[in-house]
Amino acid sequence: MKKNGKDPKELKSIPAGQNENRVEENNIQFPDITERDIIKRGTSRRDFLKVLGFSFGSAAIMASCKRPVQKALPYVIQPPEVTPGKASYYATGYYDGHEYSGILVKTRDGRPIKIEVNALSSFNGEGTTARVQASVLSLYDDARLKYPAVLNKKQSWTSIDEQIIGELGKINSEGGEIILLTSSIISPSTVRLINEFGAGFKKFRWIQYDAISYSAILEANSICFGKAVIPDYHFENASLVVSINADFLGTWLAPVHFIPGYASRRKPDNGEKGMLRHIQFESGMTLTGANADSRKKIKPSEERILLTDLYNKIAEKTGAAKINGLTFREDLSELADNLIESKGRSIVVSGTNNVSIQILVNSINSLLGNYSKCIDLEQNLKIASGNDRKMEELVNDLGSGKVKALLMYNVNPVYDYPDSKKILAGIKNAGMTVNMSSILNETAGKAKYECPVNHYLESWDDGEIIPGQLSLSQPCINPIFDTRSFQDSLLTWSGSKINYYNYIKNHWEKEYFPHSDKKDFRVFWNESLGNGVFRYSLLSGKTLSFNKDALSSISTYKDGSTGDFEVVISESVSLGTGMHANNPWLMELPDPVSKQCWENVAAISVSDAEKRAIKSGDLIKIAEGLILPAFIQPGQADGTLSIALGYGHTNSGPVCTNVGVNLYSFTGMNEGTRVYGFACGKPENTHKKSKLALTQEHYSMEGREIVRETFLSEYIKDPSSGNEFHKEFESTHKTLYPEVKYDGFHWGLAIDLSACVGCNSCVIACQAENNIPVVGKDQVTRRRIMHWIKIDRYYSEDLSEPEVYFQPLACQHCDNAPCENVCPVSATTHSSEGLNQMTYNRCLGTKYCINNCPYKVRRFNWYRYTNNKAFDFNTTSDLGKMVLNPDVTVRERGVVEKCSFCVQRIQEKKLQAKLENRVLKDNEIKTACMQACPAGAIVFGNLNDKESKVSGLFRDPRCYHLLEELHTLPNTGYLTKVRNDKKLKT
Amino acid sequence: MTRTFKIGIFDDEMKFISSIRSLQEQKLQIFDVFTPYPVHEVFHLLKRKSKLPTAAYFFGLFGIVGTLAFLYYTSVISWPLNYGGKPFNSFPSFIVVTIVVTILTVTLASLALFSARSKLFPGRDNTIFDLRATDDKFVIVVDTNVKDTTVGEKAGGIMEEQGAIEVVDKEFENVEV
Amino acid sequence: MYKRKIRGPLIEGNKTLGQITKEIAAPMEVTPGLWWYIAFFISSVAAVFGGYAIFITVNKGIGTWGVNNSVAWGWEIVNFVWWIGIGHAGTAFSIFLLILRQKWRTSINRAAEAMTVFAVMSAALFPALHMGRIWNVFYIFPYPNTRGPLWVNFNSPLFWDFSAITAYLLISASFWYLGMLPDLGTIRDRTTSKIKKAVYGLFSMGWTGSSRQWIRFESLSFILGGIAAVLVVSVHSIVSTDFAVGVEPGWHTTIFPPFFVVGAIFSGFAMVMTLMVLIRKIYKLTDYVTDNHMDAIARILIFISLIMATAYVTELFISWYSGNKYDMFTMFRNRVTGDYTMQFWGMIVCNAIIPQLFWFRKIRRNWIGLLSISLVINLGMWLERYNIVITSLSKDFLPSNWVSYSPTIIDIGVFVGTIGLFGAGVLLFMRYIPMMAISELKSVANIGTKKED
Repeated sequence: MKKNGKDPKELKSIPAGQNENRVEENNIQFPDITERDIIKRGTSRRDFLKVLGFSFGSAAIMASCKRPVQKALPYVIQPPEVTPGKASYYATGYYDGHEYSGILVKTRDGRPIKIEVNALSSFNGEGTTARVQASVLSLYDDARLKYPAVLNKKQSWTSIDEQIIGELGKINSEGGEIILLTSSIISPSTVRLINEFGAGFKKFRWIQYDAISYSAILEANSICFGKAVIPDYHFENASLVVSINADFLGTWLAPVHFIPGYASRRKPDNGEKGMLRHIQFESGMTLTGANADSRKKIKPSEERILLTDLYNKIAEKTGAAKINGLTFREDLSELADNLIESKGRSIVVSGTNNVSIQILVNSINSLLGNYSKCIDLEQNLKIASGNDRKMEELVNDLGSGKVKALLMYNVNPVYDYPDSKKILAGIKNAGMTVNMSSILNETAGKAKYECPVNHYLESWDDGEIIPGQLSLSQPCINPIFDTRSFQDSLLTWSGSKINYYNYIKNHWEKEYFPHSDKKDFRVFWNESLGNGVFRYSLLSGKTLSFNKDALSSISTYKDGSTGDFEVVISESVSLGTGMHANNPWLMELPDPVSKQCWENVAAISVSDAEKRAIKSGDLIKIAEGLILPAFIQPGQADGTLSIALGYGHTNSGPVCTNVGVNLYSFTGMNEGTRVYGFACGKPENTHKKSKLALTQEHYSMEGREIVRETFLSEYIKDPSSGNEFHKEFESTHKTLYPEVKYDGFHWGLAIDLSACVGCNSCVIACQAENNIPVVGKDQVTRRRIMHWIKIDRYYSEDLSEPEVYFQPLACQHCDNAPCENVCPVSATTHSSEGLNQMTYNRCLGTKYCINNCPYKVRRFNWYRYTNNKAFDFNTTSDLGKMVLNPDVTVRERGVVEKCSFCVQRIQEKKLQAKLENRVLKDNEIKTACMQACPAGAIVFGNLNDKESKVSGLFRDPRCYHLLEELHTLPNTGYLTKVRNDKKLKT
Repeated sequence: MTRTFKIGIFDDEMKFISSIRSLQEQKLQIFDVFTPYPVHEVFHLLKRKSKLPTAAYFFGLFGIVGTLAFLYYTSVISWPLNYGGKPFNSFPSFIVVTIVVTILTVTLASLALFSARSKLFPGRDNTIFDLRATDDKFVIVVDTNVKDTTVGEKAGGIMEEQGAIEVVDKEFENVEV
Repeated sequence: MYKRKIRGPLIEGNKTLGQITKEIAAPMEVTPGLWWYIAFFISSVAAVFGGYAIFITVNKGIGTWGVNNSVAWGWEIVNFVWWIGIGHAGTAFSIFLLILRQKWRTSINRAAEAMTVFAVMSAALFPALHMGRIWNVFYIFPYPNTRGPLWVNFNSPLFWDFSAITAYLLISASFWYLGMLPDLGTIRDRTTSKIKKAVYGLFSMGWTGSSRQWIRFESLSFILGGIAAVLVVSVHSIVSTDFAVGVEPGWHTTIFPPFFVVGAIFSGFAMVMTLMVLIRKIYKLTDYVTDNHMDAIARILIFISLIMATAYVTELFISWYSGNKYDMFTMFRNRVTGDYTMQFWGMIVCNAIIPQLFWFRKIRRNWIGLLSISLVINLGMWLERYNIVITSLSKDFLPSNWVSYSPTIIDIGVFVGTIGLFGAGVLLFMRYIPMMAISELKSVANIGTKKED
């Protein structure tokens, strides 16, 4: 599929993104009339007149239309790989110190414009997360650090290198300690490089620090198994998952890695045994809780009791030793039974960063013998390796001035360390400080030396996310600014002549080439580079035994529930740690559950809100310096508040600065690990209001057949259960006009509501693919968000313990489209392939189509969103516009737009098939949403092809069409949501 | 060319009408009469007819046929498009436009015809025989420029005895009918 | 000619033809009172405010209005339908009463038609402004073009609407002007000032009142009357298809065309009443617009308001009887009860209940009563349009799309602007054009008076 990479020298010498490592495509040549006619044949009088006429004509046209002047710099020498209008794909890996994905980068004319999934990467199956999708926009972030600086004054790399080398040498000779503080690092080459770098000094310490820490899991596992690792969880093998405060579908560890397995087992196709059962105990309503079969509300302080009790119940039944501890307020024996029933096929996880809790979880899992198929300690996740104790130690050392030199890479402690004042003082304290970060953040400018590093799309790197699963990252564009990769800096400072590219190459030759079956290293290298991944098995076969004394080492239980309320601080699905907060796409991405964006809010339970007379939008005072808008969240545990991290930046670019409140400063340390939460008094209503940016206000389906659901048991009896209305409709519907026949293609899209977890990655994928503008908080509060696909979220009637429904909603491409009929100027019509097409040039903006669309999926350009300072996002900044997809028109003010089934992708593949003179394969065309969906819930294809996957799904008894009673005949089908009806009775 | 007219002015509709009658009995050619409002007897006596209704009917026919033909051409022949699964020739939804356009055609066409036939268009100044005709007087005009030179006196005499408040001779330059 | 015994004379005070001319022409020959200048100033200020709002709209975009992704049609469409409704009175008056040979129309139709023209102008403004790209408005004309030629979508109610409004504006305007010809002639012949003579001479197009002109004049006005009668019915039916052809709950209903037409005439007659009450008060024209006239209009209003009441009930009944859950939600949980209760019950009270006061002769004969009730009716009709346009959109099929709608200052500005425009138009009409059809008045001057017997 892909050809090999090029030699870096060449890569450097030619404009960016030119290594021919891309999908082979149709060779469309653009004949240049003037050239053919004039230069080749010499100029005749007629030609002269032609050109004269042409130039006058074009001049007149140019003068007459109000287009902005476009500045384009042509290639001096056209690189052979680049054909205008053709996309090239580069395999690479995404890792920001927190999240990993194997990806393909789509570049057009040397510009990365879209992130797609690398099918060869087994880690993240079929899709990516929203944050990975959006990462391409961060490349074109105007707020990036653009040049190296000393004391915030611009300087050349050479002079900075001299100074740093000098200072390091001096400190080393004086025996001062040198600290390298980095985010978690999964790159084996970098690890080796760091060790070599450190070896060059007398006193050197390398500390990895994560804003969201998993060090409790690492510690617990080193206690229980003598191995400080984060195990890999195989949801695809589990039949019962019990999760306590772990949002593994939204934020915990590697959602993109867990969702495929989880979703594959949530489809009802393989019957009773086949379907995964999911029980969630949690305080706030997380994406994971929203997908659970049974969801129990607990306070954070109750978790310890719950686990102790659960352990004892299981121990009792399995005849293991019990431990002393309180019993949970509810009887857990049923849960215990269920777990024992599915011995070895269950997973118990906790998202709490507390060693004792993690030890309890481990012991439960080992009692249940889950450390075989379901939880894998050997093929573990290297996703995070930060250690809280070491970090705390460092901060103290900084305070005491023991540290002479501090080199920081990809960390932002000033923002995300609990005590930012202390760390700031520490940084001041260390004589020599270097900050290496690609983005502007609170830490930037605080260090003496600012050595900005490349965006990951500009740099070489490798990664080992799971032992034996390697990935190679290659640059897809030359550095936009005067930046240099962290590793190259280290190499330079350690006085080595070699560059990081060759360093990786050598490392791979030494370490991994022997594992491959290739004879020649070049072949091996090129293939790995082309695939972006390389796997080899290093299974030792020995299973780790559980240390029986582990349990004795757990701390004695202190009741954490001091105070009336407990605050849960968690990552938000949109912003994650807050590292990418300056990305407008993510900032405007509504939270999958609360459907709220552009700030963080305090989620409060329905009954608490009633008791305290708090309404959504009221500003409430939670603690000193913590005033937030309240948000009434159905399913929130009473006596708890949930608040998202990642907001409240003070210096991270225009989009996110002073948006929301920074909750990191409210996290703390307990038993040597980071605690994300605190106890507080009753929240006071300040009686001030703020308008929340909500993209959905009404929660109930009003008893309409919108999301149709059934229970597994009924589904097994009758596959069409819950979908009776569809049968009835199909048998009864009549039509006045004969239905139009579509021969050739008839495009259709099927969405499996059982598989969809509502993770939002399709939303951003669509935004990136279709140049959808960001409109800002004010417009969102006016309900004018532009997303072409949105995920509707409904609750069942009981708001204290609601069932949650997710439904991705985009244009349904109705064959009897009400919108088409009412447009006076034929701006929206039906294509011969069943597409509901929108002709922007023709649109007058009467908005009649919006009114007459029963799904309300049409969007209107209320203002000019491009080149408009009032909407200063990526469509306005010159750099930000680099991300625009040249295949999709940027819409003018006053026109209606909507989902097009990614018609540009359809056309591209059709053309390709035509040129290769073959039939279009099923699944060859992937819409952006389908392509990004990690759950594989979205399927696109040709309905006329009886073999195609989508037509199969349309024939599925679960398939129905939204509002089919209106006889709009949509080409989008939904598959009934099947719930596992084995619930916890208590 | 200048022509002299005998003009009789009445302030009473009845007298005015009866004098028209007797003028006609005397076989005297009445050039025209002017009234502040339409007097139907006059139309009968002077045998005034209007063919506008007939014309309007044909305008209407033209409107309907023309519109339907145009709609069919544009949406079936020239550029057929699929609007929400409707057939190209979705006749029922053509009716509305047809009605409206027909009405418009008839109105505008008849207006044009009216202004052409009765010589009424902006800036046009037709001969005004007596200013009061548009206020409250009824005016009879008799053309005296004929072979029989006694027409003037005869007409004047009749009008006076029928109770015209005044009878005068006036000369006018190139008068059109 | 037939005698009236039951009803009094159409024109009181045994006017001679000369008097009629004098009295009707009077307002144009004397300089108007101070009140006129004040009124004109106020309307102009309102119009300027509207102009500003329009400038903002066109300059910045529709985003300056209260509309959003679900409620894409807001106040502007409400106002559009409201104005068109008012614009129905004039033609309804002239045409229906002309065809029914109701002679008493003569003293009112001129003012009514004038009102029509200004109302339709105000109305036509809104759909134009409502376009996101008003500078491309010519796309809506089906003319041979270089884009294919790409014609327009003749299935679209909005196109029907566009053609209907255009036709209606042209026809009502020409009908109005045609009726004015003889009177313009009269003024031309009366006036002494050179300028006036020239101007009215230009516009009277050489009217002399010859029998030839009169016969054609009469037949033409009957032709126009006849076909425009169809138009009166069709225009608002077509406006109603904007909604009735849509799928939205509360829109998709066959009752709309008649319902809209009647509603239109209702609001139109109410506006006529408002105007006539004022005119006859200010210009002391009670002899021409007699209490009998006002009485007749009032009776018509009672009748129509009963029809409206029936329509409202029918709408609710059908939505319940059909068992369509979406319709039922819109009707019973979003109008009768719910967020838009005020608008709904306001509509019922203003349109169905208060007009019933006209059953009392005293109120029918009391100008304050007439004035206030006619204004109440106009408010009620506005609320009705608000109900139809906004409640349906704000909560339709998918609850995830439900929003609440509220207008911005710009929305309000545009509305106020059109009111100002309308006011200024009417004032100028009073000043420069005979408010009543002089020639027609003359033809009915004697009806029901001593002279006849």
